[in-house]
Amino acid sequence: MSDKLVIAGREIRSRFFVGTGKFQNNAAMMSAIEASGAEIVTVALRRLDFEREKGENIIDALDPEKYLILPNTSGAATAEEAVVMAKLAHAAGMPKWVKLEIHPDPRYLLPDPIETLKAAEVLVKEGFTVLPYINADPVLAKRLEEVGCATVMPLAAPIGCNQGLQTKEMIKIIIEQSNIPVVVDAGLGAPSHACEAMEMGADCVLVNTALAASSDPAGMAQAFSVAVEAGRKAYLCGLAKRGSQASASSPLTSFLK
Amino acid sequence: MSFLESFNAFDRSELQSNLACEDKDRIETLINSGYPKEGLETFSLLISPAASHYLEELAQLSSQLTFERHGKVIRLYAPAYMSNECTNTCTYCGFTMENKISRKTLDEKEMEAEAVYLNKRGFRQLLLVSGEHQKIVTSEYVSKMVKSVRPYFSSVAIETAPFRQNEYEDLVEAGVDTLTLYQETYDREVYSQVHLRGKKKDYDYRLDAPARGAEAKMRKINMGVLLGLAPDWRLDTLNCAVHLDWMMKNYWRVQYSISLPRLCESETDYKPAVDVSDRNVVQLILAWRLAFPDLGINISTREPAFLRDGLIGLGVTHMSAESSTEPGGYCNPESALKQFDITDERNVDDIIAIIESRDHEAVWKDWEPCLIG
Repeated sequence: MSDKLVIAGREIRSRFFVGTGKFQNNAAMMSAIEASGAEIVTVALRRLDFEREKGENIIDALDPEKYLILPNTSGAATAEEAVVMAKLAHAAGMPKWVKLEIHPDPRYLLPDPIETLKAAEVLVKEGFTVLPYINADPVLAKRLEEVGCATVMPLAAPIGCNQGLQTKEMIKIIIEQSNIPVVVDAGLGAPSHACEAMEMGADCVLVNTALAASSDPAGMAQAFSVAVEAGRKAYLCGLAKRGSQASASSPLTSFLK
Repeated sequence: MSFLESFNAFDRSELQSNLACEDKDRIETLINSGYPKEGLETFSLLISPAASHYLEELAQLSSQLTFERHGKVIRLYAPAYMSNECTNTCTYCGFTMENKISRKTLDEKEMEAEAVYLNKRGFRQLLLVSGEHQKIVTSEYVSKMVKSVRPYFSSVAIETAPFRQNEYEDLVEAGVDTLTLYQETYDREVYSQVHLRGKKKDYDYRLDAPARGAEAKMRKINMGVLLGLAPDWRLDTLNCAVHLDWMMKNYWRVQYSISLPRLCESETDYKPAVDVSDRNVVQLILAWRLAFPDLGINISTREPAFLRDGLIGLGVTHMSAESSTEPGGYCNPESALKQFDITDERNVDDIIAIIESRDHEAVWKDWEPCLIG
């Protein structure tokens, strides 16, 4: 059975997205990205310095034929700032895709739903493919779908906390209602967390800190990649129902026929 | 309620008794089950004498937490002095009015030349510093300097006399994203003993300046105490943490950081009231990290190379390099003008090599000029 992931008309080869922050150097980052098998790789725009010579920026190590570099607007606290940042990236020659991140709260980096919706509307109208980072709010997810976002990216837990699926129940509702791919983003600290999100029916997951903070980023990236595939496969097969008691595999009432 | 009112009414009796804690069991309970709880209570215990016996354990926790929250990166910045004119008499500072040093205030052209130099060296984060002179270093003057350097940097911070809210608003408009302002000491008595003349005598006006900066929509605020001024550095630092905690609750959009400047040799014969040791500084950094995980922590070239190197990976997020502490000092060095002697004189390439050898990435740029206000 074919199980293709398509975002905004583009077929994406991996359901595992990775972020590029926090790594100790480009070599560690590249080894993790390669081991992950990811096609979509996010990069913080505020880290990019277009004044620099080629070879001195994070993205210079990434082959655009092999990866879809998804610029993110982290640092933006308002819709206006995020829109300016997205345009800046496009003007600098990046694809017209943007991971919309607006977090006025620098502590937990929780996204502002009002500003995110406003910015999404503007960017979609301007022809951007918009992948918004949001709290796990099913109504907001539907509103973003209505304005034309390509995906929604609800958080499992605050960025970088490695706490796993804290917002599970809300993410279930988002998945159930969504007509666009759901990417579970932020807070996934272990392969088992990513696997669980995929078993629930998430279309993809995005991981960064758990790789960058690992003593073996490439090994961890591979572990996540396998977990994402396992979770997806389990979802497609349909998980067996959980019960509180053991159920006998040989029926006890078959004599009644 | 202003911070001043809140600070005056703040009941710190329990926290203050934690500062004297000698009970090792309390520290073990705090750190034996993963990361300690965030906040002031943890902070007060982690800077206590009892916790000084657990520096290695604290460093392990702090290091891991720093990787998780901030990544294996150190952001580089450079200070640039605009003026050493000062109308204050501060007994510990090289710019003090009585000091017969040459005085210099850069004009826009000279400032821009400094900016161009630092930009070519690779810097993208700039800290503009000045003495406190009400007639010469006005907010209008600082705004002019900010505008002349803005095109060369992605982030511009200021460290000047405290200003009024409307003046901070003008500075944000001119392109400042970060306010650095140290209370120097939260001990009112010591404060009045070391600030003898000038507007800086006004403790309360300075105390509420970070809040005025936040009202004016500064995106980042950097605070701290000058270690060695007040005899009780633990209490002084705790009071700074109380200030930070209040700021975080009242101005949640601001990104906060702290610095831990220690008094060092200047053109005065001031002797620190207390010797804050390297171990003490390390303990403070670990406590800041563990009690306030998202805080930026700066370490400047005031500190010796071995300490700065050792602190990479332990909690520090920002480092200065190759610093000059005199106005115009990058293009026209004249040591007669400087505020204090830096200790770590290595050039920026050496600093980057050290950062990389400690498995960290040196980051020049982590901000966009469009992210203002």
